[in-house]
Amino acid sequence: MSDDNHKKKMKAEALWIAGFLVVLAFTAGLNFYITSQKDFSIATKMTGSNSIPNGSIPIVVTGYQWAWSYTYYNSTGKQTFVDNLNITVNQSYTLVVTSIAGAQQFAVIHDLYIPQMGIQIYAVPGQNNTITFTPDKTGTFVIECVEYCGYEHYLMRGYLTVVA
Amino acid sequence: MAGKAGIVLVVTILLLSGFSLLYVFNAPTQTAGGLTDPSNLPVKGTMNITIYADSGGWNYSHGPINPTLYIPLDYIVTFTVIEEDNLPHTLTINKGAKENSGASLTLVSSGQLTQVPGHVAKATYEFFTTGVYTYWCTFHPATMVAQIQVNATASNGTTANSSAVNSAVPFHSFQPYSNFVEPVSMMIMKTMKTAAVMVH
Amino acid sequence: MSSTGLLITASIVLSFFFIFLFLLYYKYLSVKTEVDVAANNENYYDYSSYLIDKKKTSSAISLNSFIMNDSKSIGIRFLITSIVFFFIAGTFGVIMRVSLFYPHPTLFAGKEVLYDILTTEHAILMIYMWAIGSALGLAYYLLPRFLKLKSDKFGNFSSWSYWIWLLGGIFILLSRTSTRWYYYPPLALELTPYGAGSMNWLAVIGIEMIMIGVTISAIVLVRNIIYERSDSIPLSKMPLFAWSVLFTLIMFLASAPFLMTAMIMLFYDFVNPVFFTGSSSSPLFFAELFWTWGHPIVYIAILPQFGLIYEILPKFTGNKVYSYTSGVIALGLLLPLSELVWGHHLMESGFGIEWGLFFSTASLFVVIPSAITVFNYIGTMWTATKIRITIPMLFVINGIMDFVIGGITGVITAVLPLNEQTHGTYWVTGHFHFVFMGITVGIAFASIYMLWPSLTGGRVYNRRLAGWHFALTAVGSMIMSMGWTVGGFLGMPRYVSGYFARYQIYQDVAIIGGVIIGIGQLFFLANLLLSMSAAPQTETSNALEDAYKNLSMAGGE
Repeated sequence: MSDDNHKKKMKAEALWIAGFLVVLAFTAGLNFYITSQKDFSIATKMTGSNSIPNGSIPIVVTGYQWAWSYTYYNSTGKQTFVDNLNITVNQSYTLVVTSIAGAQQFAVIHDLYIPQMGIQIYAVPGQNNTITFTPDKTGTFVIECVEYCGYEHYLMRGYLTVVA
Repeated sequence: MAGKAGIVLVVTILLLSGFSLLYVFNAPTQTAGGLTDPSNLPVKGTMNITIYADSGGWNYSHGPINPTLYIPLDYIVTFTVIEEDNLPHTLTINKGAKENSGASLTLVSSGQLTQVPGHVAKATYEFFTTGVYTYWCTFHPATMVAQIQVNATASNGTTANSSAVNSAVPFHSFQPYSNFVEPVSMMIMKTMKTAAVMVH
Repeated sequence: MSSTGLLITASIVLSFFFIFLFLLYYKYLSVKTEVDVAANNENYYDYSSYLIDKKKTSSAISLNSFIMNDSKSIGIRFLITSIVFFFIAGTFGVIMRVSLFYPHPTLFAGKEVLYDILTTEHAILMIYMWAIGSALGLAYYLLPRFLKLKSDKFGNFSSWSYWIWLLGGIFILLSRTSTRWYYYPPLALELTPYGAGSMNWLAVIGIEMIMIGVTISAIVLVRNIIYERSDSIPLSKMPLFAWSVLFTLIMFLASAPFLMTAMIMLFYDFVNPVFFTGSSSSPLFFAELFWTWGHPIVYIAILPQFGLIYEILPKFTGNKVYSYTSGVIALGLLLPLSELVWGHHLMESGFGIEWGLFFSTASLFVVIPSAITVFNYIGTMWTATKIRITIPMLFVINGIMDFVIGGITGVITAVLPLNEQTHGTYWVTGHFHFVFMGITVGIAFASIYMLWPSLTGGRVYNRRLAGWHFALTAVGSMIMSMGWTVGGFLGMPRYVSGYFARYQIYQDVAIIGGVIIGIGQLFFLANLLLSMSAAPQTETSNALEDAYKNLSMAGGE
């Protein structure tokens, strides 16, 4: 291999590496920027009551084999819904998600997923995870469990209705 | 040698794939320890029981919620489950006065139900030992749970009677949901059941 | 079945098994004695080294491969077995795909758990039996010639490793487990059809045996590469495939203990659930242990194939690999990076934003070696004066394309805000099927086609059938993975036997692709049947094994 050819090859490779390093740096920067936004929220282990932001309504979500139950606290007391959840638009909600044993032997891991809201959060036994979101459009959306949790895993789903 | 090896290899691959598939298809799909019918059980008669599946409780808007069912021994019972809401349900039984206190048997699985109100699913089962059973829905074990009393010396007259009446009414024998037949047969059924409960 | 009938069946099966064992032993004695005598006469310490130096007879597919303990025979064993498991798991895959045609379960109505069993078996068998098996098979088969081994010792250890690995695979098949391939504990401990399947404990033993088997093989191969390599081949001149196998096996040996520990703890939990369900414990501990292994295994499944691409490409472009050094560096960089990124499987589990950002950024670093590798491939083709398009070359080109798509979809998942949208959906399934169908399956078949004359004792494959095999595999996997990727981004959940009707179109597209792939593999079987029934037509040598010759050659294609 001639020396000249070798240099050319080195140059092409260096250019290529530099090129995708720029793309990667841009991606990483975007990643940091978006996650630092105020309305960005990701599943976080709950350590105290300060996990629920001011003005956000907590909804306790419990996954068991195989249904979701939502306990909704307001001034008059609490209400429990199974599978389907009704909420109000432009109101901040904090989901406190955990898992309990249903009719089966153990409490197992579930994963609550609302694709249209971009919300995903694991339900881990013995741990409360929180995530905050604000629905900004009305309509009916789907709620799914996306972590395999046994026989009827596919039926562990429901509808999220956002009303004005 | 190598020529034969090719045929052997291809045949082995096809056979093993087929057998593996068959093996998996024969996997147990529900546990029923102690609840599966032994073959050649004596049969004394048949009986129909209709219950409404509602997440609030069995028969939530149809008379007493979570009724205790009285079933005589060695009768083939046809459970008719009518869905009342759009949530998944099962009809699961086990021995004992508490749900999930032992091996359970799902008579009507949520796969048979459609989450469409009014849909009807059926299952038959013959209780071959006396005692207290629990029937519940695995999705809503907190609300939809009640007991079954299986008596060997059941008041034969009552059960035979109810069985006769129920078989006379052509109820739920047609899969397409009929708006006319259903409410009428339901009314008859409800009165029959209240009568049966009162007798007991 | 009554217990008497069961006993009779069991004794008949056992008798056949023992008759088979006896025949094998009988054959083993005669063949081995023959070779042993010949090796002794030539002053060889062991017959394996003698076979590698003098003879190539044992390098074709035959029952002898299951008896002899030389590297080539063991390679063929692994290769044949992995192909068998590929077809078993592939059948599972096609059937479970077909069962998803309607939004509600139809084929498996009332017994939806069958879908879960098929999916779990498909995943575990494809990864542990096909991906690892075919890689080990090709490594055992190719390395003796690549490295000009001084001697071929420890064949009996390799043989043990094969049988342990095979038994592990059979155990997994027999267990009919329905956890996913990552065994998340509280569910894996539910030994009922509603949880993990009644015999999930057998699958745990099976995984442990597979890991033990592959560990033995890994040690033997690493030792071969480092100590038994011919003195004429310094590390700096070692073929890239040998480098990739070395890195893969080191990666395996470094990460396997995490899974082996986790599986032992899980097995203890069947008896007494303390480790992952106790009050001071969390099921996530298992997930962390698992993914410390579970991410490297994904690279283990593709790294040997990256090395094979480096070996196959020059045979059809006629020039050297663009840059040997950067190729080695790129393969080596995956070693540390593979251990750093496991957290991106658990970003939604409550890790919080700090851990999420760390693993998200670490995952972006994996792009660097992958991009260097792809650049090397493209550069090699770019600088070629003439590219000969053959079936293996088509598989390679398709593999590179699929890897680029699969890689980009993977990076998108690793970005934290998008992970919330794509994790747990068919997007991820589409991502890794792009990579696995293109690289793991495609390159393994490309190598098998290259090795065809050697494996079948001088036969050539039917090019028309092989062309159909390639076309249907490539087109089918593209349709299938595209359907998944698009549907997954819209929120189609993975691993469900029934789904919201709004996703039916994506599922049906993927089903069409899956069935096309299934039909394509039948062409491979037909090819095997037809070409091996014909008389030998060519030399038993092949181009792939001539690692030090870069000219375009006809042999092997």
